[in-house]
Amino acid sequence: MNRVAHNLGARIRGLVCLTVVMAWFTTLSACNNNYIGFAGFVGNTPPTAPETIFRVLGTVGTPFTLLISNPRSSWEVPGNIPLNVVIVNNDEVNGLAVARLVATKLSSDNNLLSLQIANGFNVLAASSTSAPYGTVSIQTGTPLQQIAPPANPDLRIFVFGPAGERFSGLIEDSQAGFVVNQRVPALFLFDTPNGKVDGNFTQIQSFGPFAMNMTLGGKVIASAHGIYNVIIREP
Amino acid sequence: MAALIALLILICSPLIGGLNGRAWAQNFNPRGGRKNGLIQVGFVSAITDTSPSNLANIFLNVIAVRFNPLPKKDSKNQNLPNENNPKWVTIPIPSGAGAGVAGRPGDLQIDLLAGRTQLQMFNTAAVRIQTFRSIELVLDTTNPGYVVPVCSLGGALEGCTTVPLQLTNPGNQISILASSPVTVTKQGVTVVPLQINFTFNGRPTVQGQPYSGTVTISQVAATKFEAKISGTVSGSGSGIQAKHIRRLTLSAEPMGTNNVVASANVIDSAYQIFVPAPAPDSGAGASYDLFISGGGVPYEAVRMTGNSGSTPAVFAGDDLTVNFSPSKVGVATGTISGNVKDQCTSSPVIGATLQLLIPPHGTSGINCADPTSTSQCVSVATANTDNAGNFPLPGTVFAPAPFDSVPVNSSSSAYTMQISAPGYNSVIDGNVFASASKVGGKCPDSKLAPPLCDYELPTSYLSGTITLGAAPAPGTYVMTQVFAENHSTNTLVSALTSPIIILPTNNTGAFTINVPANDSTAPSYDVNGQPNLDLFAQAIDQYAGGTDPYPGHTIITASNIAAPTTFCQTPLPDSNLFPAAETMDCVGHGSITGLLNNPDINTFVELSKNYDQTSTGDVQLLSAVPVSLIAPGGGTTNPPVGNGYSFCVPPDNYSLTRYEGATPVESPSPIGTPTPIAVAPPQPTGSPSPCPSTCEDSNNKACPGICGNTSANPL
Repeated sequence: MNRVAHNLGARIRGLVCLTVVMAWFTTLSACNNNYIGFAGFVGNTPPTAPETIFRVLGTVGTPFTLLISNPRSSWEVPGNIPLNVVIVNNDEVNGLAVARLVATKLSSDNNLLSLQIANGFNVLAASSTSAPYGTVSIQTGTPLQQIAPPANPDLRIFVFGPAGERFSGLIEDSQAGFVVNQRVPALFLFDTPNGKVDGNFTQIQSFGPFAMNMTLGGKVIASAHGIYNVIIREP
Repeated sequence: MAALIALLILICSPLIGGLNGRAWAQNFNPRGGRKNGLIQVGFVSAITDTSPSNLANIFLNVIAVRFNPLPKKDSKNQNLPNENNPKWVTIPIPSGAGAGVAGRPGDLQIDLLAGRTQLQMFNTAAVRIQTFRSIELVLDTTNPGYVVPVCSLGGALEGCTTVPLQLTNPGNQISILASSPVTVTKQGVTVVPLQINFTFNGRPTVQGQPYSGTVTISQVAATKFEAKISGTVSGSGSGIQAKHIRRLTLSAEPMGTNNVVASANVIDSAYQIFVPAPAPDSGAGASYDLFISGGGVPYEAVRMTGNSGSTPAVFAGDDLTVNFSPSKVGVATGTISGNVKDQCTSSPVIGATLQLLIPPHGTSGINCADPTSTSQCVSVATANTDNAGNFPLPGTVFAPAPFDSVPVNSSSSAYTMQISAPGYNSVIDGNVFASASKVGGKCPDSKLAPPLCDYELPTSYLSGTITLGAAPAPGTYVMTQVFAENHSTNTLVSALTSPIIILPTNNTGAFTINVPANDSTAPSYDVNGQPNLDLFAQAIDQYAGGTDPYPGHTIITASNIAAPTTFCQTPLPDSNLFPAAETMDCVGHGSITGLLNNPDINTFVELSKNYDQTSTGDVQLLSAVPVSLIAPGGGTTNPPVGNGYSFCVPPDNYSLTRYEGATPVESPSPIGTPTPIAVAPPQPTGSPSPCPSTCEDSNNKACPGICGNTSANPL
């Protein structure tokens, strides 16, 4: 009996919390960022649609190097599987991101490396290799006539913990804000930022404390840790 | 305001986590709860082809596998539950392999050719105890996969390039009534191998058309593809496990690797796992390393080789027992963390791999810190560095990173840690200790900042030039990648961190590649085997503006290059690193197909190129395993070992050598002498704009034509 009452109480408390939180976030969304740490800082910017997402998947831990290019910039991204990569402020043609990805697996084994481009809930393109030091490439949008020079400035936000955590957030410069909804580990490449950049990230699950850093030209310029909601700012 | 938000989130966080995280959390850390068991799903494949042809690759994009307890055993309705039935239980793709947008599943590409000869593990996930009677395979119906045919399809069809795959009936539910009900037992592991049956229904008749096919699934017996390994861990009762966040776990990884393929919790001092294994008559068994971790006991490992006599190699259907007896219980866990830098530039080494190595139980005289003995040791914990060179990457509250839950060791039982990255000499530190504090570990032999576990990885450089036969046509570019491997082996050790881009204004591209140095000044440094290196470079081309899985330029090679003899040696550009006369020419695609006489699972064919025809000039380029689409080998193996193989390579002169090994990880031996083979080039066609091929020869204004296949004599 006590257990039933306890469970009932917990459910009621949960429903109340859920209702309050939903109402709260509805209010916040109507306020257009003014209450989530952005007011008075870099900019009160309107959110835009989610970006095209690039994923390097396969056998967990396999090292790789990835070259991502869009018409304006290119980025060299070393790392380990898995990694989700988002170009923030990406160049789009007719609503479709234009990018070419070339990945080289850096292990002499038959581990799987799979490159994927997704937009919304759809996988637009995927290509895989299991060859030792295999190379794969994929592209989306119109073929790039040239590989753009390295991004300048090369500003990145890397959210690397807790493993597998789902999170949402808003990354913005002084002109525009970009809504993101990703899973750790996720790397955000900000293409040609206008002014300083900051990011506000909120955990959707509760797997542990957030861990993230911001790099500029390969140097860590800011780090942030914390639970539930973390803001990271370019100094 | 912020305080109010924090308060609300704090109050409601268990609810938020519960609503959103449970299913995925189970997936990340598949641990059976009191009312749960585990389902382990793997795939084999069967391909039915309606006309003779060969394929280089066929990938199918899988989203999930679903199980349903309906129809009930005694129900009058024995039909399959429909797509929207609420009782479907989803086994999603592994989190690392394809977690999608907003937590939705992405695609996991299943290699159907590889699946003909080996079980490919899909995922293991916790589900409620029950019996499932229906199974469904969920594919990405809008982007179901792709096919790469070899050349010589006939007509005007190009080979060795990507052709999309279409499902003939994309709306059809791919599900079956289980021929053998899938019963999930309390905290047990239920193995469900599924066979993906692919039937080609349509082939392209003109370039640009897709292949079409039908996919069905069938249930196959686990004993044909997997072996069961069970045993006890003495002195490890459930009370001990409950004290530790990381439960006592038994893990299996292919011998000599750090790639865990199966793991299970130790429950009431016992465990059982299932590992992929070849059929008993397939020539050689699989070899695994087993180890226990977590639960407050020290690491203990066993190597299951076929050569030791005391522990057997593993074959499908085996039911093997391996017991563990940890020397202690109740050991505290701690952390090993630090940073890895480039010794030459002091920049972080991103993606470096760190492994804790221990000798297998029952062995003596193995010093894992000795580079010549490292391969005899078992990797019991792995970490990677982040974008700042820091390790380990964080785990979660309930599944901490392996380096965050290392049994604290004493001075008499130091760990050996290997730090490695492509292009660098490995560093092996045999004096590593876990620290019970949140930060650190102790590494008194670390050369960078002892006792902190910070390391520098040494490297050196080779610098050279790639020369194209002709500059890229206007409006195009050629992207090339350079690889380094130990001389006369197929052991690759490095690649460029970013491909070289050669623009129409030039026909050369300079490169500098990190390579391990042959430096003997630091005895604990491993020179990664042979000091001399082979290099090869291949283009990353596009076909008709789209991505191209295989190059259309010749592969250029440089053989028996002396590795730099000192660390951080300033790279001196060597225009003759690749022979100056060896240019990377636009030749289009080509392919080789052939048969192998009586292959087994350890047979493979190596393709090499000897540009200058010298005795040491062979540079190994590619390996192919026997997988035949048309005529799988006979015998009684299940699945059968195919007797065919194929390569997609640009037209050129190569050699083929058959290799055999006793186990997949031992050094294989060549069988016979290399067999020369010349891959015929396609007939060039006039060059319209844009060139409808993989590259354009701007010298004679021609495009490579449709490629042809070259048949090799049986090996």
